[in-house]
Amino acid sequence: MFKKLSKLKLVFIILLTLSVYFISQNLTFFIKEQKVNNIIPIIDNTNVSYQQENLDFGLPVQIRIPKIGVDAIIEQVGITPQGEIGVPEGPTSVVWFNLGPYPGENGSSVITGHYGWKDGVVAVFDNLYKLQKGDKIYIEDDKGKTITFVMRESRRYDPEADASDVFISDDNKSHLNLITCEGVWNKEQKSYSKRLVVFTDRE
Amino acid sequence: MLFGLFGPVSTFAATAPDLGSISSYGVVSETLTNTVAGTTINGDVCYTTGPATEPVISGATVTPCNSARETEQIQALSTLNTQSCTSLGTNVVLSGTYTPGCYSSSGTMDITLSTNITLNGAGVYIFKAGGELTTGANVNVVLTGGASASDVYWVPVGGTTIGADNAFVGNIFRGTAAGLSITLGDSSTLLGRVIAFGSTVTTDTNTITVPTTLRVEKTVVNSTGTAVSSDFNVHVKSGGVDVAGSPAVGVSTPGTYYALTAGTYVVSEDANSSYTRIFTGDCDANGSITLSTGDNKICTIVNTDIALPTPSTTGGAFYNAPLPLINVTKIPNPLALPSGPGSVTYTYKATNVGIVSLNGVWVKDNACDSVNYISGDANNDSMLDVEETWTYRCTKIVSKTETNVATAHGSANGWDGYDTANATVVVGKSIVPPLIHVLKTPNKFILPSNGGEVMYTYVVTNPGTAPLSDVSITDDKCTGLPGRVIGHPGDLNKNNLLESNETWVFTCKTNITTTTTNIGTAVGHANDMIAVDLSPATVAVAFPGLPNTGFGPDSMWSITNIVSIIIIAGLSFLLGQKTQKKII
Repeated sequence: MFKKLSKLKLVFIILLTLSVYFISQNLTFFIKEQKVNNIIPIIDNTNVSYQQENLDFGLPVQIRIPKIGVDAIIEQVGITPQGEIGVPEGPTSVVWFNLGPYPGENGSSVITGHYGWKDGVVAVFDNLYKLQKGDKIYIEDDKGKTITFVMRESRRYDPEADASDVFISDDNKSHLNLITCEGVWNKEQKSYSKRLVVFTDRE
Repeated sequence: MLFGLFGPVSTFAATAPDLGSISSYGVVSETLTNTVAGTTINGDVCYTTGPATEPVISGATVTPCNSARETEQIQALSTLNTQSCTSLGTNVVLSGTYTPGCYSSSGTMDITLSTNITLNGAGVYIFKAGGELTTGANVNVVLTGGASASDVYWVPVGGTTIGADNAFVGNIFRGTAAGLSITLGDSSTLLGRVIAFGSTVTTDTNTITVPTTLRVEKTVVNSTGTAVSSDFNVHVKSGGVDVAGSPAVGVSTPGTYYALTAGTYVVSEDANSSYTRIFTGDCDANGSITLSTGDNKICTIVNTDIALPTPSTTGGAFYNAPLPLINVTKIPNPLALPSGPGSVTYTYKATNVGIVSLNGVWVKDNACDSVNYISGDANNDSMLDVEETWTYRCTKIVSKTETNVATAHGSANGWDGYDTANATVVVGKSIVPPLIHVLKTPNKFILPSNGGEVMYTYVVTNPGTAPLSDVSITDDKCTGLPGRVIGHPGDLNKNNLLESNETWVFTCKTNITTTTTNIGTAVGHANDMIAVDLSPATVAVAFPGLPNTGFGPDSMWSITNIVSIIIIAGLSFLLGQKTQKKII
């Protein structure tokens, strides 16, 4: 009898836990959706940011990386007061650095996304390190056009390293560089020890 | 009285006037008289009353002369007549050889039959007569040693009569009174101009050719190096081919003259890896220059071995941190030691012209060892604060004419800022050397990673006492500056000379896409010497730092999770209690 009751209790606990998780994650999801629908999601603490006009390229709105199951909304950021690129607020979206070129435009366009997981949700670039040379990245703009990029290489940087090569290129070709974190978590600094940059070329 | 100068003599240095648009004219006159065919004028001509027989004129014929020509004539004469001259006496007969300078006669000035006079050496020649200027037949004026027809000026109070079969050279101005004529004798040639607004010019089977010249001068600003102008081989090319006289070894001032025709030329020099090269004057940043008929232009090559900061890109750490900008002036006292070697005190003023305080400030001089801080740090924080000026001094015995270079340094936000100032002290001559100063400031010190437009402001002043002629301002990476400056609004007395009470301000806009150090260069001349100042400024195109895009493992302990666990634990406890009661 005691064994039977224990099994019931266990099932109940599991169901209750799943319910709480489901509700909490849906709330998070709804909050995200509202922000996306309101668009102009410039991060609040960005102090250098302006909307660029470009008649040839639309604003990037969606990124898909089939190899690692990424299908995320693209927001925009400029630069924080600390001189860094802004980052997405949540784990599920990515941000395009809007002081650089548009994806598809000649030069090095930059998109960043989170690594790790938050509130039980795996961050969008948690598996970015799994990309290999030749893997494809698709960027859709607000005009419905899709631009394809092909991974060329990846590099690891220290957080304070000179990363100018991430932002400039002089071959008059279009590149898209994806940035996230990896390495060892530093609890005091609330930062990982490395930055992973995946370099891609327009197909 | 017969005068000829055959050796080094003390003469007054002469300064060329600005001819303005007259420079393209072979003849400026009220009446041009020419009664027979055979006269050719290679240049523009203007008159109110034309000749019976029109000469062959290669340029424009303007009737009447624009009144602006009269203004230019008056201003040029004013410049010529206010210069101190070596007096040759009264009713002078010229002969022999003359070096650059200003020579005067209180009466007439003559060159007798079949006499050659030689003008030897690059520089300005002014001959002023208190009466008439007259030459006999078969007189030749010979140019040697770099003398240029463009820089020869004949300024008689009376009329001028050039005899037959002369080969005459220079710019002949009419006499003081209107109506005083200038007459060229049968079959004479003139490499120069006849400038006689309001008067009559008479020609007779003459050839008048407006000289078109390019003067190439070099100056070397040494920090630790020892090179001089003559160590460099200078080329002037047209269509990739050296013109006559090119290549030639570099000459400081007044440089090397080239008599050319209208066209585009490129000045260059054989490379010396120890020195940077800046083209200024009338040349563009690449040494290219276009000459029109009658032009007398200058191309100045400035070489320096002064190490300027090498720009580098940095990460986000310095994104919002402005770069240092320091400026230094250096003034010797005295500027000249006419009696020989003596003590000179150099005063240096280092000013923070940027927007961030500077640390590690020092001033050094490559030829004066003990540069000492005197004053200026008002709050005693050992920082050269914005707009603060620190004064330094150094005293030494100067035994021969020398130019030495001071370098000022200051740091901020991990960057080094430098500026230099050089000054010349003349020993053994009563010549006041020129000084010039330029302060260059950008309107932005940092741009985001895609670069942008920067406007530079250049403030050019004369910290010395000798008025500066042929002032030029250039920037090695910003086009749009005038090069040689004419008619600047800051020229209070409109004489195209930069005087010590004047400030000439220029601006230049350019787009930069990478971190850029560019150098503003100001050049001025006085007393056959050249003054140069360089003013570098660095504008950073900064790249943002890499973002912190990671959620740490502690993110799993979110409020939601903690609340969930508490709820689960609570419900589990209650369920357990109820179940136990049922069993009981």
